[in-house]
Amino acid sequence: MTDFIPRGEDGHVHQALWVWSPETIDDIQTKAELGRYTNRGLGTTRRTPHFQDLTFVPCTLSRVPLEGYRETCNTAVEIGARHGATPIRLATPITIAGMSYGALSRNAKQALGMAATRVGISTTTGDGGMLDLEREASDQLVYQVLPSRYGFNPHHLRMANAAEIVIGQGAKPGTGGVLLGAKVSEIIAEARTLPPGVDQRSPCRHPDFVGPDDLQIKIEELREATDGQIPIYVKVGACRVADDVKLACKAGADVIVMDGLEGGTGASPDSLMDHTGIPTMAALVEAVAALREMRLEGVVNLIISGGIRNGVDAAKALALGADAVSIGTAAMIALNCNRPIFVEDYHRLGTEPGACHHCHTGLCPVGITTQDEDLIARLPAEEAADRVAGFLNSMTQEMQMFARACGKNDVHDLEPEDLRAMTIEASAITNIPLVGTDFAFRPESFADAVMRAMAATGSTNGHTQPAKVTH
Amino acid sequence: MATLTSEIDCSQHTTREINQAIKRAAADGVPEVRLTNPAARHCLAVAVMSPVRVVFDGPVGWYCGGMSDGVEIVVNGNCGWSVGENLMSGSIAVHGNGGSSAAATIRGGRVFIEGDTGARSGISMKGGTLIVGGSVGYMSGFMMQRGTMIVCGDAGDGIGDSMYEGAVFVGGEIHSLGADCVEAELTGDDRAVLESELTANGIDAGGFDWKKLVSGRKLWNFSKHEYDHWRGAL
Amino acid sequence: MCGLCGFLYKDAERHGPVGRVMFDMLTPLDRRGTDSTGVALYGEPKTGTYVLRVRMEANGSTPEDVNEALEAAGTVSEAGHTGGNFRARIGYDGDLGELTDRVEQVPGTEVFSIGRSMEIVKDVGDASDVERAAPYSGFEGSHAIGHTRMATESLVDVAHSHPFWARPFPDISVVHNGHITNYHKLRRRLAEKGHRFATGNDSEAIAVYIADKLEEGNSLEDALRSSVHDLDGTFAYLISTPDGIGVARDRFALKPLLFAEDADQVLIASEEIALRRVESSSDLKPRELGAGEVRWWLR
Repeated sequence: MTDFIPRGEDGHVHQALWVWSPETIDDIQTKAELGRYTNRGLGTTRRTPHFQDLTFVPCTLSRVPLEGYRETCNTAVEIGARHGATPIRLATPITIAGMSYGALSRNAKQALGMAATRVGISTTTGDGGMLDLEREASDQLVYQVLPSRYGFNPHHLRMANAAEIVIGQGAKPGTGGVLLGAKVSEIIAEARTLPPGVDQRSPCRHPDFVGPDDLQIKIEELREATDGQIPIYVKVGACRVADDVKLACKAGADVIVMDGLEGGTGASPDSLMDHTGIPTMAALVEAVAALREMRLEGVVNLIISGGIRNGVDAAKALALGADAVSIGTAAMIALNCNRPIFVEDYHRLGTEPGACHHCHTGLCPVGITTQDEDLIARLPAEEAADRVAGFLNSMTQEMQMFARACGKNDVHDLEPEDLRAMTIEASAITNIPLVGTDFAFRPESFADAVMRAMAATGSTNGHTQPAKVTH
Repeated sequence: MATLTSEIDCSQHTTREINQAIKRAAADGVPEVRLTNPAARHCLAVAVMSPVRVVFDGPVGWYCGGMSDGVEIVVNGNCGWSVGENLMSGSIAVHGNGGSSAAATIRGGRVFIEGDTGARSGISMKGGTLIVGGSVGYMSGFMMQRGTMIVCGDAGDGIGDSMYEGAVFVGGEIHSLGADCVEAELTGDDRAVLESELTANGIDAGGFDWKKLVSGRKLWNFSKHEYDHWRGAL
Repeated sequence: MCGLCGFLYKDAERHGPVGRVMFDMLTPLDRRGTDSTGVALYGEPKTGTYVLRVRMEANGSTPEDVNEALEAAGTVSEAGHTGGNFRARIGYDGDLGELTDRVEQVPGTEVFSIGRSMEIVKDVGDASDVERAAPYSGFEGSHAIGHTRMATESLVDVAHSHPFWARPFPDISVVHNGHITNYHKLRRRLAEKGHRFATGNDSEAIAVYIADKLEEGNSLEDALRSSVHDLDGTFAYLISTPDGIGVARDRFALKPLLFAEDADQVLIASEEIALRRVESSSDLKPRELGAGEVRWWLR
C-alpha cells in the first residue's frame, strides 16, 4: 500500500529518496549554515520497540477478574528503604522526573509540586537546584546531584526527601547538558553562577568522582551529609543496563532510576537523542534481570522513565518488574505542552501544536519551558496543577483497571505472564510469548519448542526411531 | 558545662559516630574538636553547617569537609580527593598534599593545601578561594565559574580549560594553557589579594613570578567562525 | 573499577612479611570492590626451578592429575593444594608457553602464574575470604601487588580476577583500576599475533599488551610508556616484575593512585587509607602519580 504521491507537472511520480530525504537535505544545509550540530528539545523521533507492542491477557475462564468499584486495588509503594532511610511513600507508583528550574518556568515547577502533593507522589529538582516554590508546593521532593552542580546547595539537600545522583539521562547518555543562551536569563544565570546569556555547557562527569568505585564513597558522603535519613537514588541513561545496574547496586544505591532512549530533555543534539541509549522497555527487562542476578529485586527499588505516556504503559512497566514509573514529558503535556492555544506563537517558532519540540528556544507559547515573564503568565499554577493531578489520577485508574481485569488487588502483582507480545521484536526483547503462540522469540525458547515439537510429532526425519535428544 | 575542646579517637568510632559527634559539638557551642587517628578515613566532617574548629591529627581520606558551611578545619597530614567539595563558607587548611579535584565546585570560603594537589584541582569552582602552596595537576581550574585560585608552584597541562569567569594565579611554571584560557595583566587589586591570602597562610607572595589566567570568552557563545576554539571544547 | 596496592623492599637482599602487608592494605580497599581479591607475591627463588600456581575447578580434575602433567615435564617438588588452589615447584628449562598448555590440557584447570619467584593467589570475595580459601597473609617475600575488584563489564569469577599474569613471561603480572575502552580493538590485534586471552576482562589486555611489547624486544619501561598512548580509557595500573614494580596512569588522571617511599620501601595504593594500615608507613608522605606519568622501582 502506498501513500498518495502527487504527480508533477510532467505527469510523472517523483519520489523522495530514503537516504537523501527532505529532512536529511534540510539537516545538512542547516549544519552547513551553523557550522555545528543541531539541537532540539523533547525527545526522539524514532519509532522504538515500546510498551505499545505488548497487550494484556486479562481473566476469562481460567481466572477471576475483580470488580472495579467495591473490590479494592492497592497502588501504594515505598521507595528507598534499603539502608534504613525514611522511604519515599508513593500513593500511586508514579513520580515526576527531574526537570530543571531553568529549563522549566517557576509556574511549571510549582504546578508540578502542587499536583504531586495532591496525589501523594514526589517531584524532582533538576540541573539548576531547588526552587523554594517547588519545595513549598511539593511534599516529597527528590534533590538531584548533577555533574554541573549548578545551584547545588547542601542546605537544600538536607531539606530534601531523597537525593538523586544523576550519572546520565536517556535522551543523551554519556554527555553533559546544554542550555542555550536565550534561556540563561539574569535570574537563571545568577542561580547557576554563570554570566547571563552564555551558551551554558554542562560537564559529562561529576567534578568530585570518576567511576563506580569512587561513586561508592560519594554515596557515603551524601549519607553523612544527610545523617543517613534519606534514600539515595542513582539515575542512569539506558546503555549497558545490566552492567550499570549491578555497579549502582555495588556502589550502594537505594533506588535506581533507569531512563530509556525515549526520555525527554530541554535541549540536546538531535543526533544524540536518536542514536544513543536503548528503548525503555528493553532497558527495564535488562535491569530486572540484573537485579535478580544480584538477588536485590525488591531490595534496590527500580523506577523507569522514558516515553511513559499513560497508565497502560505504567501498568505494563509494573508487570515487567518496575517498582514505579517516572514521567517528564507526559507531565509537561498535561501542563499544556503542545496544546493548540496561542497557535500564532507556535507558527512564529516555525512549528505547529502537536509537533512542537522547540523547548530549547525559550519561547514556549504556553509558558512551560521559558523564562519570559509574559509567556510564564500564560500558565497560572493552580489550573495547571489541576490538569496534572487529573492526568495522574487517570493513570492510576488505568493501572487499577488493568490490574483488576487480570484478577489482581494490587497493581504491583501484575506479572510478565499477564502480557503477550504483539511483535516478534517485542517478544525477543521481553521474553514474553508472541500472541497466538506459547513461546517467546528467544533462543532458549526456540530450543525448547523444537524439542517439544519433535517429541510430540514423534518426528523421525527418515530414521526408524526419533533422534536421541540430549540437553 | 561545655569543655573547651573535645577529643575523639577515630579508631574507636564509626564514621557516622564521628560526624554526629562533630555536629553535636558545633550545636553545643564547643569551640574545638580534636580528632586523633583519622588514618585517612573518608567522609569526615561532611556537611558541618555551623561554626566549629575541627583539627585532624593525621591524614584524612576523600571528601573531608565536603558540603560544609562555616566550619574551620585543620588537617595535620594529607587529604584525599575532593577536599571541601561544595564548601559554602568557612576554611580548610591541609598541611600536607591533596588529591585530585581539591576544592571541587566550592562556592565560598577558603581551602588551603600546603603541598601539591592532583588533577582537576579547583574544578568547577563557583566562588571562594583555593590556595595551593605546591603544584597542581592536569586540567586544574577546569570549567571555573567564579572565585580565585592561587597556585604557588607549577600548573599541569590544560590549566583553566573552559573557564567562564574567575581567575587563576600561577607563581611557578605553566605547562600548557587549557582551551580558551588566556594570560592577563595583574592589577593592583590582584596583588593585594595575593598578598593577603598568602601571608595569612605563612607564604611570602613576593617570592613568585605571578601570571594571571582568565577566560578568553571565545567559548561563551558558539560562533562557527571560531571553530578552532570549539573543536576541543564541544 | 577497583582498588590497587603494591609494596616493595628496596634492598635486594631484604625479605619480609609482604603477604601480611597485602592483607592489611587490601582490607580497607574493599569499598572499591569485593567481587574478588588477588595478589602477586614474590618469594625466594630457587635456582633452576619455577613455582606454579594452578586453579582447579570443582568437579574437575584432581591435584594428582596436575601433578602427573607436571612430572611429565620436569622434577616436581613442594606440591600441595588448598581447595582448588594448587601450588608446586618444577625443575624445568623449556618453553613456559608449552608448559602452561601442557598443564591446561588437564580439564578444568587454569595456570594462574609461573615464575622463578612470583605466585598469584586470587579468588572471589574480599581479602579475608581469599585468605580463608588460599592463605597468603603469612607469605614472606621481597615485593607484592594486590587488587580488589568491582567488575565493570565482565564476569565475576575467579578467572576474571586480577592479577593477570603476562603469560608466558615468567614473574610478570598486572593489576588495573579503570576500564580500557579500546579493549576489543586491542584484543583483536593481539589475538591475530597469536596471543592467548583467557577471559573477557579488559584488564587482561594490559598484561597481554605488555607481554607483546616484551616479545618484540622492548624494555619494560618502554612498554609502560607506550601503554599510556596505546591504551584508551581510564587506567591506573601496577605491573610487577622479578625485581621491581612499575606504575602508569592515564593521561587524564581519572583513576586514583598514590605512592610513598623512603630509603627502605615503596608503598603504592589507590587510597591513603590503605597505606596507613602499614605500620612502617607512619612517617611517609604519600603523593599522587601525575597524569600520564610512569614510574619504576627496582630492588
